[in-house]
Amino acid sequence: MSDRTDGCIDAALQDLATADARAMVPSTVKAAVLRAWDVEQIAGSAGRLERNHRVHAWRNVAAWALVPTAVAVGAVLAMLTRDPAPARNLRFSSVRTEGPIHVPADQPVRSPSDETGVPQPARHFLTDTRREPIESGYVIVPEPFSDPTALYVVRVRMARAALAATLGMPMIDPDAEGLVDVEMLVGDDGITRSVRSATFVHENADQGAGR
Amino acid sequence: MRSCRNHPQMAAPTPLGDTCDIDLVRRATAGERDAFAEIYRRYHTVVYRFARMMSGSEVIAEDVTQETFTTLLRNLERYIPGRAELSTYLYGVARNITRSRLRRERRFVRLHINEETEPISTRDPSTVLEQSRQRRQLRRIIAELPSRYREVIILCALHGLSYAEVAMILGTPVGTVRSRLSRGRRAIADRLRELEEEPVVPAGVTRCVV
Repeated sequence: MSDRTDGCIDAALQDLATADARAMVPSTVKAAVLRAWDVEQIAGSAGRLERNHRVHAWRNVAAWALVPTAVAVGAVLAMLTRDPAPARNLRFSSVRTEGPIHVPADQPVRSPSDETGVPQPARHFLTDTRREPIESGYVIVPEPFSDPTALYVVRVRMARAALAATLGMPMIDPDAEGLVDVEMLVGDDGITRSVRSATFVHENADQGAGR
Repeated sequence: MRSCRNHPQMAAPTPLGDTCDIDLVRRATAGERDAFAEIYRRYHTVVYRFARMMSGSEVIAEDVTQETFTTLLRNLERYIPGRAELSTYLYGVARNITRSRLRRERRFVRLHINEETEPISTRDPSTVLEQSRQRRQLRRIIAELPSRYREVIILCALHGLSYAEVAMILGTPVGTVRSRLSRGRRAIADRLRELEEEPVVPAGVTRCVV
C-alpha cells in the first residue's frame, strides 16, 4: 500500500470512528442489565439464606447424631473403667454365694408354718444381713426365679406317693409308702418354684419328735 | 495499569466517576448497585460499538451488550483485577459472545446499522452525503473481513487501543496483532479499490466469516 492509500484509509477509519462514537445504546439495555443485577442480588441473598439454612440443618443433624453417640461411648467407657468394688451396689449383690442351705436330715425340721399353720417366709434366708456377702465380680442371676424377693422356703411333710403326683419329682419307687419332708421354694402366688430337698421320714424319728 | 483512571471513550463523569475500576468492582461485589451502574455507564458504549461493528447488527449489539454485563455481574467475584483491566475483560467477554452469536446465526447477518444522526453542520450537503456513503461502504467492507482481521481493525483503528491491549484481549502475541492489522488494512484498501471500479454497491446480505 502506498502512503496515499494509507492516508485515505486512516482518514476513512478516523471518520468512521468519529461517527461510531455517537452511537447511542438504547436505554432498554441499561434497564435490562440493572434488572438482571437486582434479580441476581435477590437470588444471591436467597442462595445465601438457603446455604445458611442448609448449614444449620446439618448442624442439627450432627448434634442429634453425636449426642447419643457420645452418651453411649461415655457409658461404655464408664463400665469398662469402673472399679469392681461398687459391685455390691448391684441389684443382686445381696444374694449370698457361699452355697446352698442344707437342712440336716437327722434334725427335726421346724417350719414357720408349724405354729400358725400358715406358710411363713423364711426370713433368715433372704433378709439375713449378719454375714457379709462374698465380694464377687459376677452378677448372680437367680435363674429360674424372676423375682427373688418373693420366694419363701416352705417345709412340708407329705406322702411319698404324693411327691411325684403333686410336685412331679421323679421317684425310684413312687408307689412305696411312707412320708417325706420336702423343703420347697414357693412364690407369692403360691406356686412352687423349686424343691430344694426331700428327706425320707423315719418312723422312729417321727415318733420321737412327737409328730 | 490503567484501572484507576477513566477510559478515554467512556461517558461523562458521575458521583462515582473518580472511583477507579478496582474499587468499583470491589464495591459492586459487595452488592453496591450504584457501583455496578457506574461500571455499566463507563463501558457500555465501547462494548456496544464493538459488538455492532463486529456483527453489523444493532439488535445483536444490544443483545451482546446486555449479555456481557450480565456475565460480568455473575462473575464479579471471579474477576481478578491484577490479571487484566476491566475494559480488557469486558472486550474479551463481548468478543466471545459476539463470535458465538454469529456462529449461531450461521455466519450470515444483515447490515441493519443506521447512520448516526449528523450534528447540525454548515457544510455542503453533498459533502455530508458523500461522507455518509463512504462510511456505509467502509462498514460493509469491515463486516466482510474475516473476523480475525475485523476485530483487530475495530479495536486498534476505531477504538484506539494499543497493540498490547488488543493482544491481551485476543490472547495472541503483539506481533500477531500487528500482522493482522496490516493485512486487514491491505484488504480494506483492495476492496476500496475494487469498489471504486464498480458503479453501484448493492445493499443486502453480507457474509461475515467468523
